[in-house]
Amino acid sequence: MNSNPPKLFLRLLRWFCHPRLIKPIEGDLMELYEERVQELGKRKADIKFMKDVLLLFRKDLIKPSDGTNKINTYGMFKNHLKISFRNLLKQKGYTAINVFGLTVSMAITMLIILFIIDQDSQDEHNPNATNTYRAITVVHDVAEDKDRSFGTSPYEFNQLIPLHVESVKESTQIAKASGLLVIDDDEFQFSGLYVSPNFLSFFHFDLLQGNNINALNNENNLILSKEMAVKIFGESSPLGKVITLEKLGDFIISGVIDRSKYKTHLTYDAIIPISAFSNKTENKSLLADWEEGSKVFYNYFRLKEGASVQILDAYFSNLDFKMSDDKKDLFRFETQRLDQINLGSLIRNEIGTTTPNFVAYFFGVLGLVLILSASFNYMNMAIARGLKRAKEVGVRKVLGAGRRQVIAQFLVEAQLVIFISLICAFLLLQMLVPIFNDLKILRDIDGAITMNFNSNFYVYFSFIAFSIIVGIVSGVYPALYLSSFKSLSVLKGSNGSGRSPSFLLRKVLVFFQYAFSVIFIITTIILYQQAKVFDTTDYGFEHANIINVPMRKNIPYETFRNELMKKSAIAGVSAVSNLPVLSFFEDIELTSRSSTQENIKSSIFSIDAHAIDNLGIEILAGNNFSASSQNEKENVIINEKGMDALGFASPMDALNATIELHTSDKDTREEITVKKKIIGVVKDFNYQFVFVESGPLIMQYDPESLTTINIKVAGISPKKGAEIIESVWNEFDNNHAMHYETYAYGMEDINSEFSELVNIVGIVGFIAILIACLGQFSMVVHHVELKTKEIGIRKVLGSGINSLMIGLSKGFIWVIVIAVVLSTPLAVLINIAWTSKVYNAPEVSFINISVGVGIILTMALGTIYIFISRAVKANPVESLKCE
Amino acid sequence: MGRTNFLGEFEELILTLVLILGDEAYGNTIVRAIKEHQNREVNLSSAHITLYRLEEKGFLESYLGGATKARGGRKKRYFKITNAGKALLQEMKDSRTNLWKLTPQLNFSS
Repeated sequence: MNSNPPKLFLRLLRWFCHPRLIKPIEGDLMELYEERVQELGKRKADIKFMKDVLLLFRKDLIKPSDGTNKINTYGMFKNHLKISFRNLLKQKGYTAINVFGLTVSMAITMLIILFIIDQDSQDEHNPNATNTYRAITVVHDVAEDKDRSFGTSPYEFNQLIPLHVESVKESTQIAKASGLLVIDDDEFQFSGLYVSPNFLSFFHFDLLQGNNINALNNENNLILSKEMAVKIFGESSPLGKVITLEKLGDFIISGVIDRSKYKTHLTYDAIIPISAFSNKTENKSLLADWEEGSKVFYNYFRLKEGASVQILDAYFSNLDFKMSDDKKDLFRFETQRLDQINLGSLIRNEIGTTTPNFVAYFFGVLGLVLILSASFNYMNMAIARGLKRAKEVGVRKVLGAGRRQVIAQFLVEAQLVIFISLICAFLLLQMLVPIFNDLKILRDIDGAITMNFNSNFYVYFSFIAFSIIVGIVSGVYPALYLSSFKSLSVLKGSNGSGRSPSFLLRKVLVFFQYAFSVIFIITTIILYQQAKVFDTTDYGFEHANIINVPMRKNIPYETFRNELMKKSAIAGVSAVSNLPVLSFFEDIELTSRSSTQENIKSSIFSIDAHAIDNLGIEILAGNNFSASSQNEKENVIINEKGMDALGFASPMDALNATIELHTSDKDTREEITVKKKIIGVVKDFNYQFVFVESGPLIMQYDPESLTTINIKVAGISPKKGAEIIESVWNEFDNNHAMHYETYAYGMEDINSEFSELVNIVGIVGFIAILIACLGQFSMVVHHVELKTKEIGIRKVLGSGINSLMIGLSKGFIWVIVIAVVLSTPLAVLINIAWTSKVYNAPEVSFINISVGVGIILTMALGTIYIFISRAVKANPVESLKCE
Repeated sequence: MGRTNFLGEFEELILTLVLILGDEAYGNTIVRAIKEHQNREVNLSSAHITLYRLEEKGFLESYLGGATKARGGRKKRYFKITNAGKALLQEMKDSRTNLWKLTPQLNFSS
C-alpha cells in the first residue's frame, strides 16, 4: 500500500497532460499501478507505469499550447495595457520627458540604422556577391611601419589566376578612365571605367537601352550612364551615335545604364572596353609591370559553387612576384569579398567612394550613446516613481499575482512608452531623412537613403526589433526591482524610503549620462573653434570679387582677356591651371643642383603673366612672368617654403638658381627630368584647404595647361560682373553658355562641409546634454517630493536653509563631480587624437576644457539648485500638512 | 464534420463496452473488459483517447465520481452512452447485417 510510482514520471505526466483530463487519468493509472504492484511486484509495476505515462503523451491528451491559456494572457495583457495607460496619464510630465528623450534618440539611431543598412546593401543585387572576390594589394610602408591596402592589383592577374586556380569560374577587370567626351564641339568632363567585355553579366547589370550581351563586344563601344546620356543628348536616344574621347578616338554608343537601379561600389559616367586601353602601345609597359600595375587595375574573381576562397588566398601567398627583390618583401596580395567592399576596412585607390567601417562604428557609437542615455532616464524615473507604486504591487500580489505578472506589468509599461516614442520617432525620421540626404558630406559617397514602404520591409522590421530591444533594456531592471517588493511590508506602509538598494544603480546611470555629456560638449567646443579657423584664416591671396570662368578651347584666351579689360568694371583678368584651395594640386619631386640633399616634394601649377598681380600674391624677390618674353617656359617662381626646402638662405639667394623637376611624361608615363630657372620668390600663401598644410610650391608658365580664368570685378556686385563677362563671352561663342562661380562661393562651399560636421556633433551633443538634464531634473523633483516632510520637520526644528540645501543636494553633486572628473581626461584624449592629425587644428587648451566643464556644471547644478531651493524655501507648515 | 457519423473498429468496441459495463464504465474497467472479452492487450492511453474522442463526438457523456483509496483520492471519470451513441451502434449493426445478407451464401445443399 505504501509503494509509490516513480515520481519523475508522475510529474512528467502532470506537466504535459491537459489539466481538464489529468485527474481521472492519474487516478486510473494509480489504480492500475496498485493492482500491478500486488500482482507483479513493484519493479515491473514501475516499468509498466513509466510505459503508460510515455504512451499517454499523445496529441489529444497534451496540454494545448494555445487555447485556454491564450485567453487568459490576453485578458491579463489588456489589463496591463490599461493600467499602463492610466499610469502614464497620471504622471504626464514624466511621460513627456521620457517620450521626448526616447523619440529624439530613437529617431537619430533609426537614421543611423537606415544609413548603415543602406550602405551595407551595396552590390547585394548580385546573386554571386558572396562568391565573388577582388584581389587587393597590401603594401608595407617602411617609413611609418604600417600596411596600406589598395583596391588595385596587377594587370596580369586577370589572365594568370583563371589559368592557375581551378576554382575560379570567371574573372573580370576594371581600370579607371577620365577625360573629355566631345560631340559636335560640346565637351563633357567624365569619369568612367575601362572594363572587360563580361562586365555587365559579371556584376549583374542590365542596360536600360541597348543589348546586354554584345554592348561591349567591340573595342569602340561605349556605354553611358543615364545621367550622362540625358546631359549630352537630352531626351533623344543616344544609341548608335558617335562620340569622341580625347586621346582615345571615336566611340559608338551601344548602351545606356540606369545607375540608380543598383547600389554598387562602382561609380562611373561611361564604360569603355578595356582593350581601348590595353591595346595602346604606350600602355604596354604598364601591363607587364606588377608594381605600377598594382596601382591601376581592379581584378574580380567569381569562384565556382562551393569553392573556398582559401585556395585563392593560398595561391596569392605562394605567388612568385614579378618585382625586384627589395619590393617583393613589401608587397602582398589578398582577397576581399564583393559585398564587403563597402563598410569594410579602409582601402586606398578605391573605384568609387566607399564608407569605411570605422565611419559606421563612429555613427553606431553616437546612436548607442544617445539611446542609452534616454534608456537610463527611463530606468531612473521608473525606479524612482515606482516607489510610489509599491502599494499597487502589494495589492496585486495579495490578490494572487505572481511575481511574473508584476514583472509583465512593468515590462508592458516600458514597451508602451517605447512604442509611443517609436511612432513619434518615425514621424520625426520622415523629416530628418530629407535633411540628411542634403548633407554635403554625403554627396560623394552616394549616401542618399530612401524611405519607401515597399522596398524597405527589412528596415521596418529592424526598427520594431530595435524598439523591443530598447524596451527590454529600459524595462527589465525596473520591473525586476519593483516586483521584488514584499506585499506585507509594503501594505503595512513601510515602503522602502528614498535610500533603496537601487540608489547606487541610479547614481551610476546619472554618472554615465554626465560623462557622455562632458565628452560631447568638449568635442563640440573644439570642433566649433576649428570651424572658426576657416572664417578667420587669411589665405594670403585675394579671392573676394573674383569670378572664375572655365576656359573653352574655341575662345582664345588672350583676345578674350583683351576684350574684357576694355570694360571699366573689370579690374583684372588672369588664368591658372588649378584654383588655389578649390582644386587639387599635383605633386612633383624636385632637386636643387646646388645642394646634395634628397628630392623634395612640392606642389605645382601653371599661371599666366597676370595671375600673381590679380590674386594679390606678394613677390619677395625677382620678377613676375612676362607675357612678351619668349623663354618663360624655362622659368619658375617658387614660394618661401619651397625656397627653404631647397636650401636657399634668402629669396635673393634663390634667384637664378637652377632646379630639376622629376616628373613623368603625361602620355608615356616615362620618368623625365626638366631643368628650370628660378626667376622669382613669392610670399607663402595657402593654396590648400586649411586642413592641409600648404607646402613648397612651384609656379610655372605654361599657357597650354591653363584651365580657369579669374576675373576680378571692381565697384559692382559679382552678379552684375558676371552679366558683363557673359556679354563679352557671347560675342565669342553664342552657342555655349558660360559657366561661372564666384571664388568666395567656392570657398564657402568647402567650408560648409566642415560646418555641417560641427553642427551634427553639436546637435547630438546638445540632445545628449538635454536628455541628461531632463533626467537630472526628474530625479531632483522626485527626491524633493519624498523628503517634503523631512524638510518641514527640519525647518521647524531650526535647521537653516543653507545646511538643508547642502544636505539635500550632496548626493547629486557628488555624482556629477565624479562624472566630470573621470570623463574630462577621456574627452581630452579623444580630442587630442583627432586634432593631432589635422593641420591648423585648435589647441585642446585648458580654457576650452574648462568652458565645456563649466557649461555642464552650470546646467546640472542649476537644475538642482532651482528645484531644491524651491522646496527648501517653502513654508514648513505647508509641507507638514501634505500627505 | 463528415466523420462524426463514422466509427472506427476500436471506437465501436469501446462504445459497445461502455454500453455493456453500464454504471461501471471508466478507463480501467474498459481496458480490463477488452482483455477479458476480446483477449486483447490495450493500453490505457488508447482507451482514454478514444473515450474522449467519442465524448467529443457526442456518443458518450461523462461525470466524475467514486474516488477510492487505491486511486490516491483521485476521482474516476465514468462514461455513459448517450442516445445518439446507442442509435449509432444500432444503425451500424443493422447496416452490417444488411451487408451480410448480400454476401453469396454458402449453399451446402447443392
